[in-house]
Order: sequence, then C-alpha cells, then structure tokens
Amino acid sequence: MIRVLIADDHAIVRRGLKQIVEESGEMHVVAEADCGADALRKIRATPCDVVLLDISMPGMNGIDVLKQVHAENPRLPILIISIYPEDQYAVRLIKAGAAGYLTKESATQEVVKAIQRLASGRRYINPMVAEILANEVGQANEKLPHQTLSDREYQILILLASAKTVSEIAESLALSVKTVSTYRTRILEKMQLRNNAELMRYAVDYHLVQQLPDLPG
Amino acid sequence: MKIAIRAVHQRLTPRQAWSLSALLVMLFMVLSLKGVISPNYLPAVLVASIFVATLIIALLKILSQTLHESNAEQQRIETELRIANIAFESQNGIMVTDANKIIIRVNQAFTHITGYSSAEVIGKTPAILNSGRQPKEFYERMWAILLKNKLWQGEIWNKRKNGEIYPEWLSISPVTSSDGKVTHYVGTFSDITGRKQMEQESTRLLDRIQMSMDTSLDGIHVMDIEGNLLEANDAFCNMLGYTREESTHLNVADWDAQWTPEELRLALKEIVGKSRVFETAMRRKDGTLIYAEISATGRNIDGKDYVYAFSRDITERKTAERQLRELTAHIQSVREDEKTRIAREIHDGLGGKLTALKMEVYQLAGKLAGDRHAPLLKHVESMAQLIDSSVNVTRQVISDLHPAILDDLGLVAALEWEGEQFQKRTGIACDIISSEEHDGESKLDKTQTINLFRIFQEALTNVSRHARSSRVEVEFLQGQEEVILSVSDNGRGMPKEYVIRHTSYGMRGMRERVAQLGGQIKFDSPPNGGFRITVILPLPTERNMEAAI
Repeated sequence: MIRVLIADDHAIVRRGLKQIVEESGEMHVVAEADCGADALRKIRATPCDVVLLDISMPGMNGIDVLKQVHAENPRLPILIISIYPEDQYAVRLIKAGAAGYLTKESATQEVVKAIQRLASGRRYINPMVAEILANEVGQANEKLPHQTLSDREYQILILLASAKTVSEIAESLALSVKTVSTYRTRILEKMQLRNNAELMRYAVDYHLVQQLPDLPG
Repeated sequence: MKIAIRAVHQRLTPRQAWSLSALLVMLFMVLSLKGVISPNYLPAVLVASIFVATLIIALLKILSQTLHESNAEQQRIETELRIANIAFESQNGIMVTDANKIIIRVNQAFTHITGYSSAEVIGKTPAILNSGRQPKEFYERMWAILLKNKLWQGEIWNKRKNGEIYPEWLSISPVTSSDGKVTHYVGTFSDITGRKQMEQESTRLLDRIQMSMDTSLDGIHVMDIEGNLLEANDAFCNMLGYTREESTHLNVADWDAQWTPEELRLALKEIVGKSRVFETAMRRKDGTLIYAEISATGRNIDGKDYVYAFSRDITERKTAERQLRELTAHIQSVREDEKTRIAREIHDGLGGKLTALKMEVYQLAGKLAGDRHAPLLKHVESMAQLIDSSVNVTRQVISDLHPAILDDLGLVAALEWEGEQFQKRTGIACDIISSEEHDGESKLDKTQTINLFRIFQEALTNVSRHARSSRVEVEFLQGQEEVILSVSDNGRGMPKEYVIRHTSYGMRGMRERVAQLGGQIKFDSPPNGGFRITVILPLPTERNMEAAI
C-alpha cells in the first residue's frame, strides 16, 4: 500500500482526493493537513511515500512547504496540486523539488497514475508540462554568454570593452553612475567574468569590438 | 624800397651774395681797363670794391634777419587769433563781459541758444537771461565761489528771448591782467534741455520699474554670476523672511535648499544667455522650507553677467500635489488590497468547491459506467465539461484581479508568465531577461512588487496598442541599491509629445506609480529604434534610508 499525505485547506477537496486515492485500492491516506504549518508538522511526524500538496494555502504557502520539505528530505516525492495552470507554476516548482504537477481539474483523472509513478521513484510529467520543459530547453541551447544579454546590457558591454569609464557611459546613456555600476556588476556576473580587463579580452575574442583599446599606464 | 628789401630777403642766399660781390669786383676791373678809372688806382679801387661788396652783404643780412623775425611774430599772432575765433564760434554759447559784467561780446551759439543777437545784448548785463528760478542767494554763492576758485560751474535755469525757460550747463572764469586785476569774465554754456529730458524719462522709467517690482506678488531678484544678491523686491524678501537690509548680504546658497553650492555655481554659469523655468526648494530665514517656481534669465551687460529671476511661492500647490499623490497612492493600494481579497475569496470559496464538485462528478461517472446508464453518463460528462470551463473562467478572473504567482513565486516569475500570456494573445515575441534565475529573496516590498508589475502590464498594453512591433524585450535587473525594469519594443517608436502630452492615462499612471515609489521613469529609443520605458526604483539600503530621512 502506498502511504499518501494530503495537504489542502479545503476539507471538501481533501475528501474528494481521499476518496479517489483510496478507491484505487493500492494506496491509503495516512494524514491530512489544512494549512502549510500543519502540513510541515504532519510530514515530519508521519512516515509516508507521497505528499499531495496544494500550493495556495493560508499562512505558510505550499511553495515554502515544498522547499522546506525538499531541503529536509529530498527523497520524499511531492505532487503539487494547484488550481493554477501548468504554465504558471509547473516548471518552477519542479525545479524547486516537486516530483510532479497537477491542476485540480486534471487531478481527478490523473492523480492515481501520478501517485503510482512518484511512489516508484520517478517523476510525473504530463504532456502539458513536458511541452513547457521542452520549450525551455530549446531556448537555452548553447547560447554564448553575450547572447544572453539584454540590448542595454550589450550596449554597456561594448562601451566598457571600449575602455569607457562608468561615468562616461552613464553620461552617454543618460543613466546614473549607480545604475551603470549595477549593469556592470550584472554583466560580469552573467558572463562569469571578474573584471573589465577580462571583459575587454572577451569582447576582442568574440569580435564584439575591433581591437583592444590602449590602456592608460 | 621795402619791397626790394623783402625781395632781397626772400631771394638772397649767401651763395648769391658772394656772386654779387664778385660781379662788383669784375665791374670795377672792366671800368679801370677801359680807362674810366686810372690803372694807378686799380689796387685801391679793387680793395674799395671788395669793401663795398662786403658792406652791402652785411647790410642785406641784417635787414633780412630783422624782417624775418617780425614776420614770424605776426604769423604766430594771426594763427592764435584764427584759433581763438574758431574756438569762439563753437557749439557752446560764449559771452564775454568786462569787469563790470557788461557784455562786450557773444558768439553765434549764444544767439542760437538764447535767441538774442549780439547787438541786442552787448552793453547789457547777463541778468537779461535771468529766469527767476534761482534765488538771490544762488547768485551770491556763485560769485563767491567764482572769485575764490577762479571758476564756477553748474546747472542754471535761464530764459530765452521768447520767454522759454531752459536748463544750461554754465562755466564762468575771470580773465585777469598781469597784476592780478580782473579785466573780463568769460561765460561758456550749453543747452542741456535734451539731456535733462532723458534724465527725467529714465527717472520716470526707473520709478515705473520700481513700482512694478514693489507691487509684484512674485519675488524679483537680481544676482551676479557668483549668486550674490544685488537687488531684490519686497515680495522676494518677504518670501524668504529677510528684511531688505539683511537681504543685501545674501548669496543664493544661503536660501536655496535643493542644490549644493557647487551645483548652484555651475547652474549660474550655465544660464548666461539663456532662460530657464524650474522648481526649487528654498530655506527661509527661520529655517522653514518653501517651494518656488523660478523663471530665470542670464544676461551679459557691459561685460558682466547678471541673472534676473522671478520666483513664485508654490508651497501650497506642492503640498496639495503631495497630498493628492498620497491620496492616489492610498487609493491604489486600497484597490490592490481589495482586488487581492476578492481574488482570494473567489479562489477559496468558488475554486475549492468547483474542484470538489468536479471530483464528485468524476466519481459519479465512475459509478455510472456501463451500458445501462449510458444516457445519464452523457449528462454527467457534459456536467464535468461545464465544471472545467467554470474553473477556467474562475482562474482567469482571479489572475486578472491579482496574479497569485506574484505573491507565490515573486516578480520575475510573474513577469515571465505575463510575458508568455502576452505573446500568446498578441503574437508579439516577448523575451524576459532577468538576473533572478532562482526564485530568490527579493528586496522589493509588496507595494513595489505590485506597482512594478502593473507598470509592466501597462507597458505591454502600450506596445500592443501603439507600437506595431514584432518583439518586446523586457529586462529586469536587481542591483544592490536599485532595481531596473525596462521594456523595449522594436516598433515605430513613440513621438516624444505623446508622452509629454499627458493624454494617455496609461503613461500618466506609470509616472504616478513611479513617483510614489521615489523612483525615476525614462522614455527613450533603444539603439536600434523602437520605444523603451525604463523604471529605476531605489532599494531600501541603509544609505537610501538615510537619504529618505
């Protein structure tokens, strides 16, 4: 028997889920929680194989519970059940440690199948979520660091690579020095470079600027 | 004879004199050779002729010298007289009296100014010109000074022949003989009616300007290029709470509360030759702050730079503006709270029940499985579909009211989701570029978050309505001290007037939201064209907190 824990603030939903789960004959509900804090407490106290977790609960919400539980017990599979469509939450929550994501409308039909998969140590990715994930992978394919920059970040990268000072750049772009510094930090971070010298080297290597400008001194 | 001597004097040079004596010697020699003079006397005649020639030359020389000298003297006197005559007939009126103040000579300018011909005044005293405007004591003082200083100068009102009274500038000096006795008086004068009129006009003009300054409700002040106050009207002094005397020592840095002395110095320099209207904060003498709208013009007058400024106290307007802004912010936050509350209520009340209903129906469908209940099952399936679409509608309503994702997953997730929705709805590609890969700790508070999200929604709405673009790039950057959100499209751009015109509530709303949060909003064109909105909000760092206080 698969031991299931249900956390949802609506008693009526819990009852419905419990019925569906138990009617399958191969799983039973070991505990129910009606809020985030309660869920965390019961998950710690009750040994179980799969957790059904609603993300919008009063007080501590499901996402915080998910992160907390995942941090404490990464092997415990958590199936998120949400009223929100997959495109809003699914990928983010899977990244945050959820093993599966179901909308409440599809839960009725898919929850038993999903629990079975999770209990066997796999993830449950329905076609909807799979498509979103696939899109994301497609987007991130092997871009060069500078290609991930925004237009303005790129503009500032070029100016920095041309040995312009932060204040000069600030003046030419009508931004404050502080803002340009913020951009600079972010560009270096994004491109995993440590300083302007490395940035200039990068710009020359990738032919973003013509040649290394003469550095003073 | 005189003519001959003059001719000699004028023509005879030493060389010619010697030639003459040589001629005389030769004449005597010829006479003796012809027998007119006995050869026995020849040596004596020769000596005599040389002697005579020498005598003639000496005589001629003396004569010539004397003539030369007397002639130079005469020329000098003539020249001096010519100069004196020219000087006498100058633009200034001149009258010469004898020691008894009887007029003996006047020039043409005198006639021109007074209307009297010289015949009419010679033999009379200058009293003929008396206008009666100066008292007796004036003339007594005048003579006393004249005798003591050998000069009197001053303005005096005289009367022309036609009775017209006019002002003149008069100088009188006595002429004395070698023994110091006064022989004549010379009076020189010019008609200063024109100058007087100009003076009066400029005095009247100055009076009018002064009156305008005094009656003006706006403060008026003039500064030099260092910001030192040169002149200020009562309104300006009152505005700052200084007395007129105190105000004379003020510098703009004493009362301006918005800029540093260095910034003021640069601003003053920059304004020369230009006019600017701006708002600033001013510190009154008692330390209280007021706000003023200033219209300033910098001018270079005779090589020196001056700044003329009109200031209007707009403290009340500013206060009203601030109150209005606070009120707007309050209403907005109440509205957001209300929306959030309604969204939650719908979610909790309706969402949960619909989900439960769906489960019930699902179970019912399971129980109805089998041929016997096929018609019923159809109904149940149709019910399930209705419930699904109801859930969809509910979800849409909730998201429109307040996107839960904003609270649950933070701003970046909400931006990304909203961007995806936008892309689906409009077909315009929407790239979100953000630093926040992890749904990490945001430094933004609830108000900042929701406002940035609303600005973002508004910006996207603008893009879909006006830009005709195919791509939107959204950049969200969270730094140490500020966050930057920019939305740029590759559309046709937006004319600047569009933003400034304030007809767009959307734009105004964005400005207003940003102003409430103490941030800045900029509208510009990215390098490759299109339109870009950039919002920069300060983050609550220690430094920013201090600045806010």
